[in-house]
Amino acid sequence: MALEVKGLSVRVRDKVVLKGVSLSVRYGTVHAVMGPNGSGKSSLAYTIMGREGYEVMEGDILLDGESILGLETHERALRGIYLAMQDPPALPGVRFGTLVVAASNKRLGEAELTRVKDPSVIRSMRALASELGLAPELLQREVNVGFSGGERKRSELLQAALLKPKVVILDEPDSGLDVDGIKKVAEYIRRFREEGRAVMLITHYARLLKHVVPDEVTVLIGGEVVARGGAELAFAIEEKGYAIAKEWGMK
Amino acid sequence: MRQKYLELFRSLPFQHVADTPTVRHYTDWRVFEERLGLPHSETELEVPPQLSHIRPHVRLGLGASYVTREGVKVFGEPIEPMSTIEVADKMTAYHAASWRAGAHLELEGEFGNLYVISLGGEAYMGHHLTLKVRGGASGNVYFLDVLPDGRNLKTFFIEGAVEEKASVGIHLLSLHSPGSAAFTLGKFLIYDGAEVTSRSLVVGGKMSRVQLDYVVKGEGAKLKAFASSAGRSGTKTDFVLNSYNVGAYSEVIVAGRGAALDKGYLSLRGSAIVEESARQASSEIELQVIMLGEEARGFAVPVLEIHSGEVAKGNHSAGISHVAAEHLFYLSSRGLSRKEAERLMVSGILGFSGLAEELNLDPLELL
Repeated sequence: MALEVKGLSVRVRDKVVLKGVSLSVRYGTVHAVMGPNGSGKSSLAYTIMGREGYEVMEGDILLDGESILGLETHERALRGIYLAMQDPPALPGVRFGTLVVAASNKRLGEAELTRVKDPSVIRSMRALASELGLAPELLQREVNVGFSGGERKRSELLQAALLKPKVVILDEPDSGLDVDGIKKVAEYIRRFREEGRAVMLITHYARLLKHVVPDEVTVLIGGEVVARGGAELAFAIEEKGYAIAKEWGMK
Repeated sequence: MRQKYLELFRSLPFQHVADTPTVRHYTDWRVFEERLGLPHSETELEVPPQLSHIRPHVRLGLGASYVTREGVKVFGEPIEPMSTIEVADKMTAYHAASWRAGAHLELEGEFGNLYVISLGGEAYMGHHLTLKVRGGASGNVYFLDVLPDGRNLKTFFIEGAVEEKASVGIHLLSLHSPGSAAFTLGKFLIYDGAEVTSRSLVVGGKMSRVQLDYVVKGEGAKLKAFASSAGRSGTKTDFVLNSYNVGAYSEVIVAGRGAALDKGYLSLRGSAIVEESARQASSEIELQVIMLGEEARGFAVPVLEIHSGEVAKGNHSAGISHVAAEHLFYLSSRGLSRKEAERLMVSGILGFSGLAEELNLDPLELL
């Protein structure tokens, strides 16, 4: 098992955002985490990534059977967890290419961040950018400064493809994308699965799941798991709304 | 003339209250005021180790020394100093009355890369330089404005003219030690069809006021100005980038990035003014400052004034923010520790203008 979340309860300041959540993501599979807005999906992603302010009250998170709760965010990233954010921030001054080189150097154990350790990274970055329909100039631009919504999503995917993490968490990678954009995202998710990575796909629509049939589906509402199933659960939600998830859970 | 400037200096007030009508002063004039009684320096600073790999062609210190080469004529005195600068404030008048060492540069043809260094001293040092880039010339001029640590003061003025169809880079590195005070002013007139790229990097001292004024006079003249700056802990930097579109079809792009660190202060501001004569001109100014540290203070103040009835484009934007938890989380999620994330951001901001790369400098070694 790549990633296991066991009985996880989390609060942010005084608000409990996750209540006893358990799920697991296996290598070579896509696990969709669905739920309406405010159901705790992004909180789950942030907690797995170790974001400051997300306090684990009880439960555990295991990567390859080992707890990662004691690790800082960057240590979790270097162990092989990658989070593609729903709305990544703009970073004035930091060029996209520099960020990719720095992230790549860290994975190669290089202390120097901005000098290219592995020249193939640059070639791969350019090739992936072309494949994802990102202009070559974007690699020289500051991270997410003036990026369109689509460019942000695609640049998050580019990093996921380049850094080759064990676990890829994609937080609503389809929001704000047109049909072609969604197809491209789906193509990459399928590729991650084929490469044997564990994919946690967070979404509140099933439209992306028409292009990537998930192996497992977990539904969160109000910070709790209310239903589990396969792809059929996602399509039932698409047809009848989240009310069906509670009935499904009771069944 | 010196006597006239001295009288002006005595009569003009410091702007204790405000630099702008919006009742805010970004330069701490008191630091300058306290140092105006300093004598002229008797020694000049050595070239700092970060710049030791650069061989300057013109060296301004206690006096001026220079080497000439093809395409470059150097004279030991500026020609018609202060002819393009209005003496309307106390520090400008002080400089006009007090500077001692200077030079005039004339550049023509393909003159390559030219390095001019202005070195401060243990007390007051004033330098004045005039520059003429002849029509059709191409190359880069790098002004290195450095000041050692201590209770000192330097004024450094550059007046430049870029003639028709020249294509040049005019760049400024201001590296002022933390205890120093510096008032640096550059004013550049850009004529018909000339193209200027300007890269600047300012790391200020106890009080550094650095102002670059670009007057894009000629028809179809173009300016691209990129700026980087950092306000270190215990220092104050007021970096001003002003542009004036005067010529029809003139084009201006000004973009700056700055970081205020720890207890540092940085204001990055500029006015982009499109004059009435500038038909179909375009002007864009974009300034962003981030603050790293609870006690850091930063300002990004771009102003766009359009007096022409027909402009091709006019944009201004500003961004100012504390380095938020989300920035650090994002970089951490890519595998960088907090310290590495902060270094990457600062290095990126200082590298934004491109000058550090052109001078082969590690931006972080300048802090």
